[in-house]
Amino acid sequence: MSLESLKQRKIIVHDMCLRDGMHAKKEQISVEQMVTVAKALDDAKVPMIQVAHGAGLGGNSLQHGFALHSNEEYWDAVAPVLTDTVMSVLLIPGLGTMNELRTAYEHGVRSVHVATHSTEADTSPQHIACGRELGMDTSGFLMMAHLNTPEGLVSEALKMESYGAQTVYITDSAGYMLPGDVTKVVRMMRDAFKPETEIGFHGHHNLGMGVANSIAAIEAGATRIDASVGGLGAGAGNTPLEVFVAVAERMGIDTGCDLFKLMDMAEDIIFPMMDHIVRVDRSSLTLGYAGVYSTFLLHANRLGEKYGIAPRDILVELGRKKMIGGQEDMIEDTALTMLRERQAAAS
Amino acid sequence: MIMRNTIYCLVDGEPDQDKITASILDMIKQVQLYVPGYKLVNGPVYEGNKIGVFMEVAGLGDYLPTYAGNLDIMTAAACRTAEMYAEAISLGKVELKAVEVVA
Repeated sequence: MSLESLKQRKIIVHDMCLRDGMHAKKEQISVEQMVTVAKALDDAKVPMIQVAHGAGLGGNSLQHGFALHSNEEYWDAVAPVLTDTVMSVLLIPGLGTMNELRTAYEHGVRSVHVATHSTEADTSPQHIACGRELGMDTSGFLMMAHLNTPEGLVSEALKMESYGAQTVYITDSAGYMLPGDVTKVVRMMRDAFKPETEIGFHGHHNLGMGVANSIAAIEAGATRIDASVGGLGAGAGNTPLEVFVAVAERMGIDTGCDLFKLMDMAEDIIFPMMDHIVRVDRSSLTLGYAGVYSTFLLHANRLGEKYGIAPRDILVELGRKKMIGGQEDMIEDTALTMLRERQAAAS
Repeated sequence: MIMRNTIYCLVDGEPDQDKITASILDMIKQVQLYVPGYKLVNGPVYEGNKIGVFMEVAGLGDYLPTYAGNLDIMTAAACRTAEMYAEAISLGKVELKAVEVVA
């Protein structure tokens, strides 16, 4: 593994196809597909890739769905094909445990995003400390960032820094943020952080802003960008990695990635893998517009069909209620309540 | 927002929907005896062998805010358990033995 070599890069690109992309595939990516994608990412010199159930460690559940295989099976297949690329995992404290993080280390995982809702950094100190003790590259990951103020985000980010996070991410889980929002908060974090603490940005493309927001973050001082080749991820997808790399190259930002290999990979490997075209469409645009957790997309589409309610109506209502990641059960609950109210109004 | 809880369950084989629904509704009535704010909002919903029950738990609001129903229900359940012991003791069904007190 080459955690050391990452330090020579100006911007570290972190691919999400094999974790966030699991959401877009209803957690049904095969081991063979994982290996094919991981090999291609390694070959294209993407420095970091995340490999896990969409909800990270401990994600296999009735609430979050069951993946085709255990995380261990995925890691054991992917780790041997990586040469320079570092494998990471997502850990939402409470869903995943420190024991699972230790197991991940034993299976070759060397980096972790410790994720909390954007107002709940104080649920992460033990897990961040555990990542550091294992010698992992450890990031704090503030999800649904648009639901906190810039001042609030800085205060939560400083907590994560104090727990030992080497990087803190602004995570636009709903793809709701605009470049001005990103610039403002990243600049404030940069001013507040120790010089050695890095800032990351994790975007979703629901308003078509994934690349623009990532560039805004870099200009304000971020050095790590999460993205996925072909945008394979929740909602309208993550920031499309190959598009980001192309723009970065035009702007003279050094990612170290091989653009043409990434373009080929998107076309030849990722697009054919998609069960639906991951793009800005009626439902995914609604996520960005209404500020809804991107993972809710496929659930809302399915339940909308089941109960005869437009997914857009369900998503707008979930946005109004300010539902956050982990409240997937409230999608069906909301659909059922809307159905009851509509039936009552009609009779 | 009031505390929400969703209970999911996987059953072996084909669920007997009428029997399961009746049993759930009966249990909710029993819990409501000591947690009046324990309320079924939606469900039970059946999807194959998966069952979903969508609950709301409002607290009494005497010491804690009503939204903290998750805390209220634990205290109320403990009280109810103690009451059940007391009832059983007064009927002579249970005899509690004194435990050794360690200083």
